[in-house]
Amino acid sequence: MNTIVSEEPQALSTYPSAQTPRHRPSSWAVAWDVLRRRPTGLLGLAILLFFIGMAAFGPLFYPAELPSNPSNIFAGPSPAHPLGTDFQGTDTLALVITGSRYVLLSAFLAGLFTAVFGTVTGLISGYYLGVPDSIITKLADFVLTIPSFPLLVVLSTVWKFGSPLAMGLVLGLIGWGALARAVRSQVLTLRERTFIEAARGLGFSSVHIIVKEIFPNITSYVAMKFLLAVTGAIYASVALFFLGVLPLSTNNWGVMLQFAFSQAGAMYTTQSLPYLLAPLACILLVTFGVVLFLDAVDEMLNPRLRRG
Amino acid sequence: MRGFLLRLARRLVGALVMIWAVATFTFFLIRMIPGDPVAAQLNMLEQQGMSESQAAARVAGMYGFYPKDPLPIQYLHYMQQMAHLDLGQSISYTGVPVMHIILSALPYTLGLVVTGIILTFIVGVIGGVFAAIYRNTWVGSSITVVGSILHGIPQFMVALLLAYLLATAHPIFPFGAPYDAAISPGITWTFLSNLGLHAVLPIAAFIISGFGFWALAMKASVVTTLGDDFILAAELRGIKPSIRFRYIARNAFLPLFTYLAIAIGYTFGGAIFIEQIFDYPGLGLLQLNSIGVHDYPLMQAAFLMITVAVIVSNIVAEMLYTVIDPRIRTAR
Amino acid sequence: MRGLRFVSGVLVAAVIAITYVGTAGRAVAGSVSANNQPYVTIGNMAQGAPINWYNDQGLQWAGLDVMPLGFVKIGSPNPLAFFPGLAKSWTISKNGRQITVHIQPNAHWSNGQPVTAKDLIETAAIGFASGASQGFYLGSIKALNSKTVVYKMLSGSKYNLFSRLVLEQDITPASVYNSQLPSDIWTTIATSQYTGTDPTLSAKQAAAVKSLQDLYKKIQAYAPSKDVSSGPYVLKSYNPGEAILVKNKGFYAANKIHIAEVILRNYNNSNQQIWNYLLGGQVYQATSGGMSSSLVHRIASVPHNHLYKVSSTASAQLVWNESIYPFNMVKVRQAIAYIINRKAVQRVGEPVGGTYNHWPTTTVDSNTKTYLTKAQLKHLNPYLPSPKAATALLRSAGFKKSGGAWTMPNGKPFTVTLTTVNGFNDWVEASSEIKSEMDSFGIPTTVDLSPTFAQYLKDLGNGKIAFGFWIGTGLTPAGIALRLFGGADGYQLEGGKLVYYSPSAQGKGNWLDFPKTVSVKGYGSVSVGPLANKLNVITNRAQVRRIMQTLLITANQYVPEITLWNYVTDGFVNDKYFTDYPTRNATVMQSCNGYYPPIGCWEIMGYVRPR
Repeated sequence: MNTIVSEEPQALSTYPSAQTPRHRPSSWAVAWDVLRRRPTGLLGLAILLFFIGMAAFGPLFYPAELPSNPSNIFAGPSPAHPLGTDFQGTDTLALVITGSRYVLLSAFLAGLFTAVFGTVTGLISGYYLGVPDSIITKLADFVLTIPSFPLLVVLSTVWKFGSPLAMGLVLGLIGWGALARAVRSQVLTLRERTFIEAARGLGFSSVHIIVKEIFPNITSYVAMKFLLAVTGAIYASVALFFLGVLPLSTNNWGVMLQFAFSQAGAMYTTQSLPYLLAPLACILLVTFGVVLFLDAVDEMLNPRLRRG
Repeated sequence: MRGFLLRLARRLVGALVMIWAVATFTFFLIRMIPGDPVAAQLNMLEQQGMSESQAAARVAGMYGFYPKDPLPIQYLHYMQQMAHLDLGQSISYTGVPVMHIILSALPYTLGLVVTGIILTFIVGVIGGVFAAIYRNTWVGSSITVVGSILHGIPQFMVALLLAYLLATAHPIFPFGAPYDAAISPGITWTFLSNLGLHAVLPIAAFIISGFGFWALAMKASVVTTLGDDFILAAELRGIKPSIRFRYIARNAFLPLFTYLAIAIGYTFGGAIFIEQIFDYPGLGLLQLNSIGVHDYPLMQAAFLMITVAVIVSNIVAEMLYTVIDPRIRTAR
Repeated sequence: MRGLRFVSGVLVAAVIAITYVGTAGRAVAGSVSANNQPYVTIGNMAQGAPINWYNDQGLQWAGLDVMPLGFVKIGSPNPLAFFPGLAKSWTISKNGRQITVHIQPNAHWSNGQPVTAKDLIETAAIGFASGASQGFYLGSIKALNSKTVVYKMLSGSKYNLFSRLVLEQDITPASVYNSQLPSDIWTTIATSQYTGTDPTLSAKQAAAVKSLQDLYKKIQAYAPSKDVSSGPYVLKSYNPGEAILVKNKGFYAANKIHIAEVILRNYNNSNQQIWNYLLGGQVYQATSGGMSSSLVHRIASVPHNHLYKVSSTASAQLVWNESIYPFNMVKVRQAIAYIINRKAVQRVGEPVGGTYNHWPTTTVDSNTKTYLTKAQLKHLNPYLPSPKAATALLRSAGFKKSGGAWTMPNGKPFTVTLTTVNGFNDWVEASSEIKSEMDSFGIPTTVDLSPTFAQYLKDLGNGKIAFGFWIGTGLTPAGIALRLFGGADGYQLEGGKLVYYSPSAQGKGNWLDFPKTVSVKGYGSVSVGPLANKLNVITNRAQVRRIMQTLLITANQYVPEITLWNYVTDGFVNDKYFTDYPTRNATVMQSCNGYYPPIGCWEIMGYVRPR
């Protein structure tokens, strides 16, 4: 199940950040220790870095317009085209690599927007309480209630999501609710803690307390949510293209999937199977990387899950 | 009881406000859609071989009810209609009340989604308990791994694979219709069994793609509970396994209800894919198809109805929760 | 906890029930005996739609439970050639202004009542409400007896396809729609046709028109309780995904109908579903677009599946707005015709659903061959790809090439924006091929995507698109010619008079701006708009052909468009249980191609029977 941004199962584990002192000694050392003991986490990190590299540098190796070859349409794998070609005779591998940028960049931006909107609203709502709290809580409930895919389908009639920024922004705007709620409940616990009370007593401004005292305690939590939001956003953007409600102008994995299904019937012919499987495998790999990495991170932050 | 009703009333008012907000939002959104659907319709008819004058007359008939009033007046009119549960007329169905079309699709979505949510929940929770209890054996870790992987596969992929494997390559389950048209609908075993058979694949898609979420959530919850001081102490004292299990079940199970709301929203949203892939005639499919034929009143209504279904389901789930969890019951 | 246990108990029971249901239901589904196999095919059925022919999504299917008076014989150069339908025969007066229709003597509705003149007259009345009857200038309709009806054209109007449109009408049962029509409908129709200047009568006329429009809306939303069919089949039961039609015993040619039951599977705009059915051998006839050739092979290799192709009259074209520089120059248009490799574009855009078009003449090859003589065909320019010819043309038009890029005579770089439509995948794919060809010739091209077809047409009509796509189509000479040289070129019929609007006239839709007169070798000075509009009124077949020749040859020389490919319908039939498909009879295939599904039409034409 892949919610665009959800309160993921991991959130269930009693979260330590709200209980442990805010200055943990050498979190880098803990991280390294866990990653070493859990090589799967390291593998996840490696996968993520690989795809980030692909999206960042991959397109540089190809011309802006990939060459086509009408006499070599839907060719099977060959030395020249390791993953075969598409409807236009364009190399599938090149499409996968150049197409990673839109998907990953929009997913990254969606995660970023989600994290920013969710954290800011959650902090404000949990710290100030009162009117801002009730407004934000209502808004978050509203955003959480509206089913996101039907909403995105409706939005697609007006908005074309041509740039990763537009896609990321929209996904962020409809996905911040869960995080806001979670952050709020963490802040509610934190604000009663002695070090916050002390800061208040010392006359620090509210902004200072929120930014300098409370926020550092939830950064790791927000970072995890950010990663989950990224995977959710990958599905969401790919799924929208897959449904065929968005323009197929940009090259990305979702567009590839849509073409593979609606044009090539790739599921039914072995010849064009790589055209279908390549983007799919990438999506699954990225997710897999995130899951593995998060699993290790979760263990790092939640001592109860650590193997004794 | 009074507390329960009060809670319910408060939720219902909130629900009405939310429905109003969604309706307002879609109303204005739809009026931003680029292009002139009328012109497109005209051209389509001409393309089909109609003469220009014929097509023009036809289109005038189809769009006659298209409002030419200023936007605020249109909005007021729309809200008045809504208050009378009138969602306007369909464009693609030329004048058929949208409500009529929506109501014909609603039962299919509700049946699919509600069954899907409940079964997914049960299967996932059972899987999660096993994964937690046997977390240091291969049983537990394989459930966790399978859960993580299923959790990672996009839902539409699961549905497509099922459609291909079990309906095309090996035509074991029917799809494409909600039941055999030869069977007349009614509360008969023949009809209900046939209806169920046609829903197997879509529901299976929900279960497979949702299993991971609940299994992982339940596992985490049980693991947390297992670490509780009560359990640790009880284990030392040699408590009866049945009491231990009951304690774990209750304390690990209840927190999951807070996720039900999200699961409901997500499942209703995911129905768009499931219904499209299995050609199951629910609201999601209706919404998608209405976009293809530029039937914006219908699209708007389908979206609104999906949202209403989510809101109502949430209220039901919450009320169920208050019934099940005695702490909330007594607190109110 | 007790409540919880109860809930879970119920749920477990539900799971068991559903599992059991699975086995029980299968037995039911498999109980159809082999010798009385229903014919399974694809049909449109919109969810919640009424069983009403006038509703755009109505649950009725032409050729199955709705019958026309006649079936247009497509592919015939005579636009008045028909196969009989509910009309057994007809006679057209010499001047073409009157047609007498003889209804099939033993035609019956599925409710047992005979098909009579009353049904035809009421259909015409509803036609006046929808605008269809005015569309072909129906003046009067009269029953000579219960089985003979005379249609007369409106006096003062000129239209050579009057009889064609009369015969094309789908006849609906008076017994069903009678309840929806006011008793004074014909008075209202008569009032609505007033064309004089008397203010009182004009006001009455306007009111009558309005009341007819309201009436049609009411008719469209009407939901009859059951299907009443004059066709070979009648709807028995349905749900949103499936419909069952059984043989109508009262059908006039019931002896030709050998299939007892037709099952329609719904089509939801997703080729995917159709492929699934075809690959599973689960439907016996279906058409599909958007297939790759490997998928076609895969489907054709399913036992008993056979591929068929039906050529259509539609084509994909590139068009330009000739009021926009530099497309006003013939040489530029010709040069681009030489640059674009149409064969490659077709292979990318419509590898299966399209065929290469040899001559850009505004219409499909088959039409070009119908209207032009062999000698004329030989003289047409096929615009085979030739960078050399393109270069020569551009240079002679004052274009210069330096550093791999072309500069226009006005000194600006020659760049092009090609607009296409989102969702029209064949156009989108073709655009990217055209782009790469233009780019490599030295004319940098950007592909612009219009979000919807509606938006595209609006922009095109408002002159905002310089270079884009168009669908060439038309079933009659006038239809073919006016598709491009009618409204799109600023020529509109207003009150029976031909009016010309220049591209600057807002909202009048002249986006082509073809020169008003051009000189064509062998034809002298040609004015395409007025010439094309003549096709609506003249009846002399030789004269029609001469005009078509002039227009097609003019287009070939002046390139108002480049036809990229002819559209082809790809379909499959399955002969496991049924045989004798008309796939080799091109006329029947083309004539039935507009019927979804075509099975009823095929049977009426004398084809298809169980094995």
